[in-house]
Amino acid sequence: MTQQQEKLSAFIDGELNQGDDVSSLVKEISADKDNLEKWKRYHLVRDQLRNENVTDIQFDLSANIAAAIENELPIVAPKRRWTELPVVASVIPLVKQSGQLAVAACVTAVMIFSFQTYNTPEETTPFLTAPPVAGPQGGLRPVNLEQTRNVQRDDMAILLEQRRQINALIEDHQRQLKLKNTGLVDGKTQEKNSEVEVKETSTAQQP
Amino acid sequence: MFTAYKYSSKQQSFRLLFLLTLLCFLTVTLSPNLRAQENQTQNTSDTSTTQSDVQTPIDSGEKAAFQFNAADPLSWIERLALQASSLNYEVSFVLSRPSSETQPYLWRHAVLDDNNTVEQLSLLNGPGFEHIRYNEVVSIFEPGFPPYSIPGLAIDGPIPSVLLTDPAKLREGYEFVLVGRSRVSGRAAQQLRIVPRDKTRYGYHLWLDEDSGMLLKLNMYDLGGTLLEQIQVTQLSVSDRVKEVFNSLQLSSLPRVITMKNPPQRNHKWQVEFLPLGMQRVKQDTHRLAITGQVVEYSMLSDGLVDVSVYIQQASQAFAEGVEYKLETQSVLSRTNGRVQVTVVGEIPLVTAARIAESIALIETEVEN
Repeated sequence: MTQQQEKLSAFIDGELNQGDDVSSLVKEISADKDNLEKWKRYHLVRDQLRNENVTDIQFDLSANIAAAIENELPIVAPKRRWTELPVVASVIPLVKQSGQLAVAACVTAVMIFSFQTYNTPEETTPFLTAPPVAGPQGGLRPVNLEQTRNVQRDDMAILLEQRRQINALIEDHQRQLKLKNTGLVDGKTQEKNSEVEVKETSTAQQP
Repeated sequence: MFTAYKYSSKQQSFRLLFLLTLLCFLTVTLSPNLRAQENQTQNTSDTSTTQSDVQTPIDSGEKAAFQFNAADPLSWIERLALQASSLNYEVSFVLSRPSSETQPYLWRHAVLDDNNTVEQLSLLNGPGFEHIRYNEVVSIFEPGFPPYSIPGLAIDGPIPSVLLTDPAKLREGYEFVLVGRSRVSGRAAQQLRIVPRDKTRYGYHLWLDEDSGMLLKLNMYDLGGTLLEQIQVTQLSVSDRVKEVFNSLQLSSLPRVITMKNPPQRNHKWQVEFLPLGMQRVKQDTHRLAITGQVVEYSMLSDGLVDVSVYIQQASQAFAEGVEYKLETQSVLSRTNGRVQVTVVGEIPLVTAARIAESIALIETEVEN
């Protein structure tokens, strides 16, 4: 094929060798449609190069172009989303990071609190905090009981009543101890305890 | 110095550490010696004035008849009681418990020229409370209450008063053991043990001054050997100067004695069957509780050293289940049996309180014809 092209271009340029058969060459060229197109183009090129008068050439590419366009696939540009706005785009990675941090913090807090409640010993009975000191000091003051967090009782009213009664018993014990040395017993001295709710018929104080 | 020798930084830090530990060790070993020296200088000045006082017998029939036997532990304690009631002294001591604050006390005792006895016990921390005993009347000054006086032989303070008045009472329930000599509060002291004979109550270790016989330290232990309470004397001075402190005391300024009515002495239909060795019922009556106004049948058990209160009242819903509290030295135990609720309060172990509570039985009464 390339030899044919060489011969063709040589023929157009008029530089065929003497030995070549012109008529057979013309027959070969005219048989092939491609070669005819090449003949046309070569001549056109030669004329342009030589700046000679060129016959009216019609470049009708519209048919080709229309055909080519139809065969092409549609190219679509990606639609801009709101997440790609520059402001939002810089904030989102930050939010992602802090979100991860927040999740980690929550998990840690849950772990800590669950271990705390797991580790505190469960108290089944309330205990006294302000000790009724056995001795001259404060023995007749009201005693306070306090409750721990994990008391397993449902009825608070019963618990409060129980505490009150225990307080009363301890206070009376202290009073009896104080009076023991005297050899006398008194359950009615109202001066000693300002919170006494005793309803006694006989008074004990004779100033 | 370090740069001159040009040690490496690691060696330098090791040397620094070594010097620091050496310094700490030296301060730790030397500081008790320093403190002991301070105490000694204080106490020697006191004891120098007291030698004469201890050796001159005060005119008291009991003291003249008392033969002190250094090998008998009860003799030591009886000597303590005698000295505590006949000498003029001023004692600073602290009461400490494991879970509460240390409380400092000041205790003074003097026998005045007219043979009247004055004793004062005051708490040095807080708003201040004071007990003053003049012969056999105890005046109580507590913040928040008007002062009053009650008859009494001894002040009810941290030191068990039976040790200061009549220790022979304890012989039935407790055993006395002489342990040995040691050094307490900068003085030579003899260590003794007071142990309950049946292991149902708390035991005591006490240290008595060899010179004056006074109490220097008292430890209370529970059944397992845990320290419950400690009284430690920080300063003891026996001298006649204490009498001058009471010169300003005016008898007329002491509050009047309250006359009290005994609640009706009703014999109960019940009694405690199990009593620790040496414990007896010393009181029984029926009275109302102050705070709640409930009527209780009350009984006090005492072995001289510790007092236990037993309350019997109608069962209430609040005590459907048994309750037990342990509050440093006090135990409170409550049991409900049918319609009756029993509560035991005292400085005894919880197991003993439980045994007492469960041993309450009705007295069999004879039917009268």
